Amino acid sequence: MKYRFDRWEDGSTSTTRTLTVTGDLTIIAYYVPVTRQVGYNSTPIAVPATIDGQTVQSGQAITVEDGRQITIAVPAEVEA
Amino acid sequence: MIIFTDDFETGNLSKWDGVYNEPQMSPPDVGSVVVYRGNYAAHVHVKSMSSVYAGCYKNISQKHVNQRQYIQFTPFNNLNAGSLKFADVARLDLSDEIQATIERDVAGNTVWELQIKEQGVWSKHPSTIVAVPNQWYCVEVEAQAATVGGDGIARLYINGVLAVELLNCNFGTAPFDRVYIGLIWTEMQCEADYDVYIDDFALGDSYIGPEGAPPTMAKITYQSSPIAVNATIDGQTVPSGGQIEAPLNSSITLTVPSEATT
Repeated sequence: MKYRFDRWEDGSTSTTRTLTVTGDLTIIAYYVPVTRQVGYNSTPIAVPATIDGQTVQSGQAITVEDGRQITIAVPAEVEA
Repeated sequence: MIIFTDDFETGNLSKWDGVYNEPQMSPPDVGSVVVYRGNYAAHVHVKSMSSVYAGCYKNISQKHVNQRQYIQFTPFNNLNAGSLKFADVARLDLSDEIQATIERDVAGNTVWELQIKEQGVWSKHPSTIVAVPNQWYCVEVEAQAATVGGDGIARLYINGVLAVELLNCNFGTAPFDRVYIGLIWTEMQCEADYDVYIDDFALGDSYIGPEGAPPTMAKITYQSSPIAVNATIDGQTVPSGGQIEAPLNSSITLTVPSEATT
């Protein structure tokens, strides 16, 4: 999975940080997962799919973490 | 046993029972420019004239008193010989006093000294330990009231070394009432104002002694969350959970990657 740098514990957001040492201290870098939008469409009829167990309507999108493997399933037959 | 301490890290003198200052002097304050340890130290700005004073005091009721503090003074050019008084154990009636002082001649030669007042009679007892400006000294004054009369004790320790010891002092038998710090008194007219700094005060009923040397290095702990990502601190790779040491008051630069993959 891919993560991107979010912030330091003091709230600053540059990946490079300069500070003056005035005593013992703990510095924390916070990362957040990089996410992607996965849109689902069926044509010519609207057929719900199941993405990782989650029902997704045609025309909807879901958010998944970058690098994550997903499984999508659609029914073999539908009646309109 | 330690009775009272003040490292002045509160940033003020609130732990003390009162402050005092001669009208031409500003009251003592707490600053962060010159400190022995931590971020703050007490400070007195001393006017160039003689017979001035400023400091703070703590009320006590102790027959055996040790007061220890770290003292630093800035350079001053005295125009006459005399003493500066930094620390005092006293009775409110001022019959007996025990003081840590420095004694300086007109050439600027300066030594640490113990001054005592026995039943109203002052005497000076210089040591051979030289006192120089811009240097921290651990100064401890010990005072023991007499038990039957004529057996009081006064001692001065500089940096943990017994500098002056006076036995059979003619102190009274009652407990001492107050300890003073700051600039208790000066006998010297100087060319210009100067400063006195006090840090890490401790009051006890037996020998206290110096603290360890003040820290010069700080520990920097680096973590990343929620994943482990290495950082670069001043060119050195540090894993999450890792620790480095850096000199106090130094500047360090950290860099982490903008993206990481698990």
